[in-house]
Amino acid sequence: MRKSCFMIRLLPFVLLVMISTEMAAQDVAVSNPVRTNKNLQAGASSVITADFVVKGTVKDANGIVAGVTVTEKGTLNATTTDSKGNFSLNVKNSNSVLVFSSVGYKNIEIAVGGKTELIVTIENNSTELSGVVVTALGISRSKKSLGYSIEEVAGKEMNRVAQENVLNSLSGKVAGVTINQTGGPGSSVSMIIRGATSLSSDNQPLFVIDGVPIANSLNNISQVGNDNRVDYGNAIAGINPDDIESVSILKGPSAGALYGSRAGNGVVLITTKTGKGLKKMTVSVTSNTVFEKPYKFLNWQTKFGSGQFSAIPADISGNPLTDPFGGLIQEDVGATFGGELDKGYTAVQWNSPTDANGDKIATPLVSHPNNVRNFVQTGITSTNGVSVAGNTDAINYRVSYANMSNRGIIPNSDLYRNTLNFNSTLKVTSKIRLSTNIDLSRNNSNNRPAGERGTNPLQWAYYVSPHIDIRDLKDYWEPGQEGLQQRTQYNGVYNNPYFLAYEVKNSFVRDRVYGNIKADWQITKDFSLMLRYGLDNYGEKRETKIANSYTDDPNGAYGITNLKNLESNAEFLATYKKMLGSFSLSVSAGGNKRYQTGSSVTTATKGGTGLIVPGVYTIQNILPANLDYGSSTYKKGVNSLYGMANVGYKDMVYLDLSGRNDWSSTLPNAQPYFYPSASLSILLNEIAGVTSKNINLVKLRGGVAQVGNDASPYQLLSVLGNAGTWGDVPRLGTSGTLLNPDLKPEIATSYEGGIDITLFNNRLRFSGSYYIVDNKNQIFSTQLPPSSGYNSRNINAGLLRSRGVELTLGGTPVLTKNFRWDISANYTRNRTRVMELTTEQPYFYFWDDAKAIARTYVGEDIGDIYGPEVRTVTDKTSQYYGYPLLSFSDGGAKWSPIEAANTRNKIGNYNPKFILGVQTSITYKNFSLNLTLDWRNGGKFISQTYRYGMEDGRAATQFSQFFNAGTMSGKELRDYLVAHEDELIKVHNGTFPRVGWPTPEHTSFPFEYSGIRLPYGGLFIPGVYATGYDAQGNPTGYAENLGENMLGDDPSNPNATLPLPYAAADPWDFAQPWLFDASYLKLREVSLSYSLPSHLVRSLKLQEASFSIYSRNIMLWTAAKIGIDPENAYQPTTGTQGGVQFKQGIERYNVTPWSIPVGIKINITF
Amino acid sequence: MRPALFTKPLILFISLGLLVVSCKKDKAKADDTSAIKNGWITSGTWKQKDLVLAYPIDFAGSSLPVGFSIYNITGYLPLSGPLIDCTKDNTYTFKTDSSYAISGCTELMLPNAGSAGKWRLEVYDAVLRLTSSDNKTAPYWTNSLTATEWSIGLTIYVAEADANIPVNLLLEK
Repeated sequence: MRKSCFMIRLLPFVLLVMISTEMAAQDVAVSNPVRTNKNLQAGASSVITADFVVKGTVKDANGIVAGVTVTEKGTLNATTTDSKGNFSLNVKNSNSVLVFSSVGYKNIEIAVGGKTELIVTIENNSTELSGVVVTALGISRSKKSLGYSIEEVAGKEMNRVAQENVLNSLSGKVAGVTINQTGGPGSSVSMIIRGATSLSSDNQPLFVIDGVPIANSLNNISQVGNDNRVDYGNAIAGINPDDIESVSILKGPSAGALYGSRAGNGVVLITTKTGKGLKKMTVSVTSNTVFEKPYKFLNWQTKFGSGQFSAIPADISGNPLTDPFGGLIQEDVGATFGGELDKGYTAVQWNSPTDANGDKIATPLVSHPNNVRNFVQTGITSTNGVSVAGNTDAINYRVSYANMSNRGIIPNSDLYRNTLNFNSTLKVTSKIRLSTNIDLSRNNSNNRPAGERGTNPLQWAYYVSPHIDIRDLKDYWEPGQEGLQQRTQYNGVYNNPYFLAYEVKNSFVRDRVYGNIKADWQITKDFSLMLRYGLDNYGEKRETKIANSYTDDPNGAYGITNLKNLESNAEFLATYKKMLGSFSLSVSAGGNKRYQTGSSVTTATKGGTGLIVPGVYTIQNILPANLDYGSSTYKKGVNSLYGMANVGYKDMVYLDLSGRNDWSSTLPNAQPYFYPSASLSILLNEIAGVTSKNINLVKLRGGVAQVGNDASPYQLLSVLGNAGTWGDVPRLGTSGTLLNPDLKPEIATSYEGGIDITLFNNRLRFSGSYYIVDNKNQIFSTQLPPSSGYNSRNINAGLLRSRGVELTLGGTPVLTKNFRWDISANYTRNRTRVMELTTEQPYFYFWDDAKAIARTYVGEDIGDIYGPEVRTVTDKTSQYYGYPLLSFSDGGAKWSPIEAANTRNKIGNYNPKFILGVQTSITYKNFSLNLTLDWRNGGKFISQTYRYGMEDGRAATQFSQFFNAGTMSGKELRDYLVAHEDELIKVHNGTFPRVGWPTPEHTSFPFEYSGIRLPYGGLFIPGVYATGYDAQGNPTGYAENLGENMLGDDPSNPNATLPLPYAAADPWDFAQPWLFDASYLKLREVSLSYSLPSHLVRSLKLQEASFSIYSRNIMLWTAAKIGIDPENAYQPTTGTQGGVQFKQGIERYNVTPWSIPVGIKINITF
Repeated sequence: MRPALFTKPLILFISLGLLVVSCKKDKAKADDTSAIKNGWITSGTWKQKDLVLAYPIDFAGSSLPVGFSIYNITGYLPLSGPLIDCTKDNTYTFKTDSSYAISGCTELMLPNAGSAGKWRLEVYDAVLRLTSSDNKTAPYWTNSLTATEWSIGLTIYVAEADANIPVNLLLEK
């Protein structure tokens, strides 16, 4: 409670401070032009001699701006613009510098330069609620006129901290938006707006750059070789963040309705920088380097080495049964239940030296707790960019080049990005403008590390037994077998992580060009026409080389994949704008012709077959019988017509109506689908005639809209596909899924309402939205009986209902001449519920893994995870009611599961309860401190890493569930357990109690193994087991497994306690032990910037110079405390499920170590 | 006065992070089992209760299970039997000054222990190490220990089978 209440407690205080400082600030700030002018001029008159008069007008994009503070830099001499935007100020001399500032606008400095008349254009600060934003189709509109929620993030907010993928810059900054990095740097980044709404797609929004839709997907995983799943990252990562002027996020269907069948998941509009408004040619140079030193790793034990039993040397114990396997370490065992380290024991090890006879010499068994730390390296990301921009009456332009290089945390992994962007507008005549934006980029890597299991180097780094120093594995070839056999602790069982890092190479090159050419024709004062052609084209080549001796591909592997993707859009938009008395009218009509095509060609070795000659990576080096090849292609066309009308009345009420009709080639007969919207904005403050500067905006808004999710190509009729060969005879086959010739698009109907309030001269801002979105006609598969000839069929059915609340509260608590503090918090809560499916389908299935099943029943929320149930005594009259009902296993008694598929045992939901982002910016003179916090509260995730870690003895986490009975034994122990049954007997909150320990360090019990009784190393599971069953299968009696009569030595006591070996005492058959709380708090960004003072900048012949140090993505707290970032709870899979190549809410070795990056950024503008 | 106004919320804001990250669990209390075990060992005199098999063996056509008393078969062991039988009335005392005394036969079971010497517990108190007066030393495994019962693992050499047989020496107070 303390955490959730904290912001609420903080708010009254912030408000109090705001009001206090508001009053204090009136003496110097823009809030009271009359007092400001008088006071400052009065003060100024006593200290300066004003002998040069400067007059001028201040404008913004919409016209004149009143109330702007104009200050002579370095003095208290100031004035404000009048109602016509004019000002007049006596300054020291003709070389003075004027500073123009106003809340809601960026500060700007202008050198008088001997001029007596100035026309100054100030730029809107787009992070604030007032001002102009870019809306659908790139149309700039006044924010107050919008009847729906739209949020804009300024480019500078996205450039403060370097990110390999620009989407990461949005984390924590926008209500309703969830950003998840699915793995380490370079992996795909998921952006979900207002929750997942489709069961058949990756739910990623439509990205539009300067009007051009850009391909982006979460499905970027492919593999060559066995278990070599590589995420090559999403294409949106090709954008240079420094080219971005602003990002508008159209969150709901009302905002995105004009995108029709592409707007089902929201729309992200990216506007790039131009040379517009520049006074002279400007060269900007940016250099940015960030170092990431890993510091936080998995909670892995370093107490026991390889083996299945923690043996003690017989010469120390006096008991040969303490060393039953003839050695303390068994390096061929893929588990670490073995001999205890750092006890002074010795053993022959994999790399022991040999004596004169060639026999290996035993060496001390010592722990190496820093193996993974020693394996990984400091990641370095360096971004350097230069841009040249200029502006004349006839043309403005901006050319930029940027280079990003990343050295990964995993050895031999890298990532590069080179971008060249050209943006220009040519004023052909006074009425015609031509503009273009062309972006060329290359994203490439020499090696992307694989995820999940298999070739993932991190998996095997964590697999290195703690008795081995990982640095001894750096020479990863067996001497004399270079290129043929990797060197491990036991060849054929283990993989050397260095071998995987250096000899499994997954490279890619993605070349992309996108851009547009646009003509704007102002035909008359009221009527304009826009024509635009946009193109997005990229090709990607992926190549994989796997050397011999990888355990799952012992003869190596090789493969090439070529992907191509092209989309073109030709569109027009005619607009008529007119003021009709008290009414403003804007009517637009347009159309779009979209064409998409793509192809994929793969040629590779079949899994496990290998190459003819080791280490020669060519297609010719694969036997024809071992070739795995395939190709596919698709084409799609969509024609659209759309129109909209905006009507405003006296700046009080705005009504928007829009409609779009799409004809898509992927739907039957290209049937038309109409997507309408209506929204209303009511400015209560204007209606009430409020003139107080403390009430700036009170707006109610609401909207109804319908958008869609189009179908993928070729979903209507089955086509023949390659079905392999029968001997030498090629075969063709049809899909096992019965396609649907009557397919319809998914339709999202939204109802959205909200309120925007701006108070205290824009210093306190609040925005709240509530929405309901019904998503019907879901496209998904249902199972069919095999007798039908198909496994499943595609249908349109179901209804998903998303409901959510988005709140944003921001303010400027402190604003003085030299000091400014802004703070903003955004809150997001979304639930998506399956309201309907088909009659024969009670739930929708997402994935089944780690004994858990992610499925959503009708009436329940998407994200639910179900797990096995522990069999317990269900007879309420029994003294053992609720105790685990054990079954016999591994020589002992163990929990017994009811499989998840056979019960309805909900154990969690992978979606967060809410997300809270906090941004704050503190500026003092030339220093600026910025922080972005991101708190995800609630949700669960399954860690397969810990599942296997507990199963093979590597995870240290389960030790806390081993009860140490001390000196208690027999009945005393039994009575103690019963007295503490809720904690020590019953399974609770993922805790599966056990009594015992691997060694005599704590209570440790004898156990039977292959007829031999080993003297320790056993754990028993508290509970009971049935002594008999009736005809219905119900127990007729129980025997206790509570510590009495160990191994049944006393035949007279029916309660025989049956311990298990430590290696078999894990709850493998359940999901709860590795289900963790996904809550976390991250410091997404923190940066401290310093801008050189203007006099120094001028003396250096610069326009601007700034330096900053920063960090990013610092994990401050996780509820799970297991060294895994819950944000990475995405398990890559190459078989798509639910339209996405990730299983959400589960991870397997997606365990990039945490780091505290340190970055330095230098920005110089000439 | 003005700086004080805006530093307060700043401190408060920064403290948000500190509050959130400052939650820690109490560590479990360490137990004192070692002292208790030492107390049990040194209080009173331990009497030999039995000598039983720690490993199943086939003997004279029968399978003898774990826990089978060796005294039941001494009649069949002309060489080893007498050495085993004479241990029946052994007593053992362990003092807090680390000295021990054994009354009875030790040749077969505890050949290095003699009748007196020094004792200590090793390997998490699971091993009883006896060092005789003439500096012979050997470890013995503690299977279980309570205030009144003590099971110690040994190996005895049975000449008739020419084998070392794991047995448990059962003591009681």
